[in-house]
Amino acid sequence: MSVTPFPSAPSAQPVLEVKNLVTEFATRRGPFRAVDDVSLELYSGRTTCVVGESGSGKSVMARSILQIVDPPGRVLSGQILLHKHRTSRGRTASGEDHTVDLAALHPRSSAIRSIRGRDVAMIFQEPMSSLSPVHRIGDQIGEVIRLHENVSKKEARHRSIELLRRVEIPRPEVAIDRYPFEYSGGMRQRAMIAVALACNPSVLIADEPTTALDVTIQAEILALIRQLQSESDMAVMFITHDMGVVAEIADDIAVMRFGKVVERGDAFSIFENPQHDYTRGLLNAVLELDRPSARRLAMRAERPPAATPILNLTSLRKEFPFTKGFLGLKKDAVLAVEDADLELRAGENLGIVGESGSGKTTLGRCIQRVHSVTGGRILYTGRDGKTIDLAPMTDSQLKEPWKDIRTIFQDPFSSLNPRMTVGQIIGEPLYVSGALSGAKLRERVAELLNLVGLPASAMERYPHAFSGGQRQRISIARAIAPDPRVIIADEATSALDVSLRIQILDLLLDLQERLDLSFIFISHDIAVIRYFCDRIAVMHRGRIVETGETETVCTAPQHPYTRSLLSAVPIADPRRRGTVERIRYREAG
Amino acid sequence: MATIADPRTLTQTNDHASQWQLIWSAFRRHKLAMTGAVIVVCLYLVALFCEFLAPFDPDAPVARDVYHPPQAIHFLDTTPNGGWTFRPHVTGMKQSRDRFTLKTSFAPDPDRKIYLTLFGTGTPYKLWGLIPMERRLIAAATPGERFYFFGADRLGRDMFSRVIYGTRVSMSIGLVGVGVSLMLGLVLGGLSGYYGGFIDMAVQRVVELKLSLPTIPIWLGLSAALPQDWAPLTRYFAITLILSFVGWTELARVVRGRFLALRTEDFVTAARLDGGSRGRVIFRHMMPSMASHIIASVTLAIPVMIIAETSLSFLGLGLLPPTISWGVLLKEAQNVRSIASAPWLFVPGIAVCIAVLALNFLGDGLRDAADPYAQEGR
Repeated sequence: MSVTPFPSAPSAQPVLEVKNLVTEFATRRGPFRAVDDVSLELYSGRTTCVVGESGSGKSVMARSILQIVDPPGRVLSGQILLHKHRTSRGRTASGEDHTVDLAALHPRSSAIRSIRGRDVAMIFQEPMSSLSPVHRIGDQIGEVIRLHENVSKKEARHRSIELLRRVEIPRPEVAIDRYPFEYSGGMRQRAMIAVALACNPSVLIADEPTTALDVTIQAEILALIRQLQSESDMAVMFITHDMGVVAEIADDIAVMRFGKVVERGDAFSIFENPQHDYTRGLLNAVLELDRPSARRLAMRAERPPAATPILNLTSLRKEFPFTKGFLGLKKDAVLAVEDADLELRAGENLGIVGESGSGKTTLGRCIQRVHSVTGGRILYTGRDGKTIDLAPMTDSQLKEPWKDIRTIFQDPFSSLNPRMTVGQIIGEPLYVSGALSGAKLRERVAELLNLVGLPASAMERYPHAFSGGQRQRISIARAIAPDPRVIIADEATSALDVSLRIQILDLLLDLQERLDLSFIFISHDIAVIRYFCDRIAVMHRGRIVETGETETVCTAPQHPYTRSLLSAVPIADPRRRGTVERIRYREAG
Repeated sequence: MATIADPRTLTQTNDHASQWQLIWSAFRRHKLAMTGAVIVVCLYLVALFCEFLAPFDPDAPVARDVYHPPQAIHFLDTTPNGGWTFRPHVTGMKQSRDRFTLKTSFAPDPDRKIYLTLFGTGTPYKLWGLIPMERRLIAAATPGERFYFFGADRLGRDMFSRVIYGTRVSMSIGLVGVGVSLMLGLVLGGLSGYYGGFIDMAVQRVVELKLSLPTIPIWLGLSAALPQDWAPLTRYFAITLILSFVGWTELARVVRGRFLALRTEDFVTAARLDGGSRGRVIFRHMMPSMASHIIASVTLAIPVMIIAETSLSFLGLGLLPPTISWGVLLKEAQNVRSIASAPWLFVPGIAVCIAVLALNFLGDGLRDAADPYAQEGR
């Protein structure tokens, strides 16, 4: 990529100015200020990154600009000034000013509709739900063009093909007649960008456009946005929670917290000399995550993991059968995990990394034996030194091994039954096995809550009273309740903000030391794996392509896929932007 | 990190609220549904205490009061010295017969006042067929006098009492019918949703077959097949069974859908991994999540049953006199003459409308409130 990191010095005059914007949501407990007195400027040809954790109001702020806040939210006060005369399209011959205050326009007025999509366009997080599933891609792009410009259908189609070519969709003249479900996730986001660019907007608002995508696709989308911006003088507002992405793409940065902008500045000054405590904390969390945990290294030096495996998988295979044809007479199968050989040594953390659809979650569920296994063996060595094969066992036979091997789920919201109290949830495995009941059970639950850093009073509450991080702690308490030996953590930190991730990972390390646990940690996030895991297995399309010590694999990857994956990970340092060469992986054949 | 919130601090709002408390607080904000709920509760209270609430025996004919028109209730009365006093009464009616057409007509007779008392003595009855009583909620101050809030029918029976008695049968047939459908629906839908595969396929095909058959001919056919000489109570249960035989399919689909949605939830997997038996996973972990949805569907199924019973009885194929239900009462209003001369015979129809609307509002409100957790995520 030969794009210069900083294309232009800030032009003195902003295209879009947000002044003292306040957006409120009416709730039962009175109004809630999601955006509180935010001021921002967007300049032509520059990217402003809005960074913040979940609930910081960054998305609501972006939606306020276009007046598409969902009710009961509404823009209460402030100005959103779009200086049309400072854009290449709006520049008049006489040079007179033409400024519109978007905040003063009615959300359903035709005046704001003519600005949406034409002057200010937006890309959303989820490409599948922001494209209409029942219309062809070409029609969706063409509609935007025809809404704002008086052109014929043929002309619109012609321009749609051009746009698809610009966003690097292969064979645009064919792709234009496809439906969104025929596109992959990355292509859908490209199509979404094409829709946004249809009328050459002067401002592009991208709301977490790469969060739902795999890291390799994210790298491509970021490169695309950067390239498109360098071709035009578009001002981009890029909303993200990922500091790596910020370092990759930002010219200016605004850090948001609790609806307020706590710090603003250009990328270098924020990264190198953050003023606000919160920004500093955020950056530290990111930097800390990108290297092995010092705590873990100390633990391993003191007590190295045993050489004998506690779990040993040999040529594990999982197929999902499905039927097709009339009355399901034809049988077929999808191969999700192909001949996986893997071992987990007692006392170590094994990371499984891969992109979505690589089969890592399926592998985890097979080891836990939530799924049945098509072939291969899962040898588990119990406390008594006896080795059993979990693969052919039935649910009732698995009751004992299930006490030793436990899972922490990804989504802290759906993994806790909302209709049971926290005490009931954590105590369930103990109660069901008949190990404890009554006062003793309560005592044990209180002890478990204490272990994961929650007060014993949490026992009587229902999960909805807890935040995401607290819920994940409850989930961990449930996992360690029957005193297990192996814990499979499936994306256990992915749903959490970056500052919480380290807390949870440190908690897991802490528990490992106290309770003598071994972890299988499944994640798509290399940084988390690098922090937490001793060894790593890289999965691609159902196969384990590389296994090894984490540091060895991260610094000197052997397999081309691993190399491609690592090169796509954004580095949280704007100085190193563009220094890493992207390696694209193409499978042979 | 300096600014991280302490995980030990917990929010203070709604902390200990259980599922039902959350549903209740969501439901209470739904004004229409609350109104519906109040009306439904009142209707079931009427059904429960109909002997006490009805002023007269619904089956007692009075020959001279055939097609007696409704009388309005007055609360204030003049005293002999010209003042006003609170004394509820109705104005008596004077009967006259046209000499040529022999048509009877009623005219108000301002001189005759029938005074009413609360908890007065009326004709003796047995509450729930067990407890002998003679106090009634409203009775004439002078025993033996009759009054008609909703008029009288072709045999001179009090429509007001008859509508009140009809509430018991009509409202209960909905409840019992839905109870039976729910049993069938829960068992078949649950099996279908939890096990999937062949069982699911078989149950779903049966449901589809059932839904493809036109409902009214089936009802007509089945109820026409009932022997005419069955006792009223036997007939009542037979009709209930027929109605629920048709009604279970919808509930089975609802239950199956919920099961399918829940089966993939992580917390159900977690319950399995916690070592819970299949029964415990279903009844302790999955059922509570479905209960509120099922209650909502049941509430919406009751009015369908009520309408069905009314239609069948109206056509003369459901319940038969001497059983009193709203449908049986409406059968009296089938001919043109009643529209012309005794429009009050349609009062049971109004009762049906009120009951069905109230139940529908209640069901809608319950459905909206059924998943308090989904609303929080919004």
